[in-house]
Amino acid sequence: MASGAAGKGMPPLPKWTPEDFEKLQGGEIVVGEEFFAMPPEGAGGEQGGVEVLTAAPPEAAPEAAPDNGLPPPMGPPVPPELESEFPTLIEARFVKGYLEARPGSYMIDPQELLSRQEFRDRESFLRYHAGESRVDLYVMLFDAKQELPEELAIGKVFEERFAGGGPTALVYYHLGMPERAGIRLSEEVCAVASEEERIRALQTSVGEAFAKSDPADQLDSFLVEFSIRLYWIEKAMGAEETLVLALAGEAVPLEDAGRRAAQREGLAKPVRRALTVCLLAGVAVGLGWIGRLLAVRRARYHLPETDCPRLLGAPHAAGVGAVLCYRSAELPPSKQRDQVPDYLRRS
Amino acid sequence: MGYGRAVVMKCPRCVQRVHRSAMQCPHCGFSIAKVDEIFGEQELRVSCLTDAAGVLRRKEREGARRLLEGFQRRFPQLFFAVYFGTFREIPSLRQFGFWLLNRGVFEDAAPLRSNEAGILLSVDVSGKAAGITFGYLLEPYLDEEATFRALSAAHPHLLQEQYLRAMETVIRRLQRVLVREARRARRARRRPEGFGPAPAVTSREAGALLERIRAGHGMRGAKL
Repeated sequence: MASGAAGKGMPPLPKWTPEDFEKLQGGEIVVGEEFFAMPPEGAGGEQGGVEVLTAAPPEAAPEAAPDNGLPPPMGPPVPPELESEFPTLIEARFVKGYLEARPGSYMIDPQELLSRQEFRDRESFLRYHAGESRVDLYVMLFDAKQELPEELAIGKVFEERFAGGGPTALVYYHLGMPERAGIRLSEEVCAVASEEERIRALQTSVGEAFAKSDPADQLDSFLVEFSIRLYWIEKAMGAEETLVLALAGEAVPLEDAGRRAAQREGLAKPVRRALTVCLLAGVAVGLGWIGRLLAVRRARYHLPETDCPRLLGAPHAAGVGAVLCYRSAELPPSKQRDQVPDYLRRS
Repeated sequence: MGYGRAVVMKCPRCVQRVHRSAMQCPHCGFSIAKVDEIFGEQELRVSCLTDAAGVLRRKEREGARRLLEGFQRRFPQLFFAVYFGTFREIPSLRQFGFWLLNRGVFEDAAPLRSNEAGILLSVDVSGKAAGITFGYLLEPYLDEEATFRALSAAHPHLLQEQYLRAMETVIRRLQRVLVREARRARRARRRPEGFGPAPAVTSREAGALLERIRAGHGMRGAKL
């Protein structure tokens, strides 16, 4: 029999001695009995069938993997960076998805972080924006804590894929962490929007995102606010172009442009006033709500202490509350109103 | 239940009413000595949050601890403890809760809080049952009905094994009851005449009531 089957570095296989064989024939050795013997009493620190722990700090206890009876997973082990709920690495196959030629879709999500419906909704908004605006808005989605490799640096991707295609805005958005969003704008847009304006556009968009808790809704709010900011920048771009054309002798009457601008200003004033009033009212309500919340949280309650006689010899407690079984939805609490001793209920 | 009203206690084993200061249950003979025989007499050091069954994730444990700390902030006299365990041969979750709240030393409860001021939520993860036990200080304010309602509200979360949500629901429900009782007690201190004993029913009224019941007028029995 080949002992090479043990392989290199493996312990040698056990060998039967003649004495073992005699014991086996005589019944002194039962093959496999070790697997079925009960452990000795007192093993594992058990008391009365209850696993009792001494005061181990909760931080020291390792997280128990759920024992669902399934066999361990096959295949190579998943690296911890990809295994956690918020992976920090981007798989190579997804990097390729981001680097494809200038896509027809305005929403780029090769990792499928959004559901199909969510993707369609955001994509349709970006298409609507593209129809209404001269500045195309592209959004690349990443997971909350993912770190971008070098080949996905926003500047590099913009220069290689989006430059030279007209006014364009590229947004790198981390789903669930709006504060990590980054933008890159084309030269035409940067020419009319100062750095301060660009930073403000990003900050207000992130601020709007934080008003929501659901990551998909945060993305919505971000895109809506950023689209509005791009509209104002585009207005500035339009005014610049009008001035340039007038200086070149083109047929754009500046008086008309001025009148139109004045009309827009006139309409904007009452809107601004109404928005200010709403904002102040909202702030007042919000402050009142926060104040109430703080007052409730800081409230302290004191119960009068009464003399309660000791019951059943117990030094501290004899308050027997309810016991509820949650084994099945077919046994709702209404059927357990009559509290019975547990030995009558336990199967 | 409530401030100044009669306190009814029940035996942890047979759940029958027991007279105050009884050293042994007159129905089944239960006492603290019986559970000491099962679980041991020595003091047991535990944490307010004990997850012996390992049902909480790390983030959930942190959330659970914050809940318990929030409860202790609102009620400086009291503490709330939760025990998730797997009870294989234990006869009764009530008995276990009764024993743990009397023999356990909850290390992270504030030092001046004795177990009399404690509320213990015990969950048998394998037997799928949950029970509440509370100390003598809370006897006038909590009863079986209040704890039953708290557990009922948590029942859907327990069914889905969302133990943190269940714990949060139970704590919030009991907090509401205790806040109400604390406010009631404060009002009683300021205006004690409004909280006197209920007027007694006269024998004539009781007789008339009995006659109506016997005559089969279908009236529901009034509380005497």
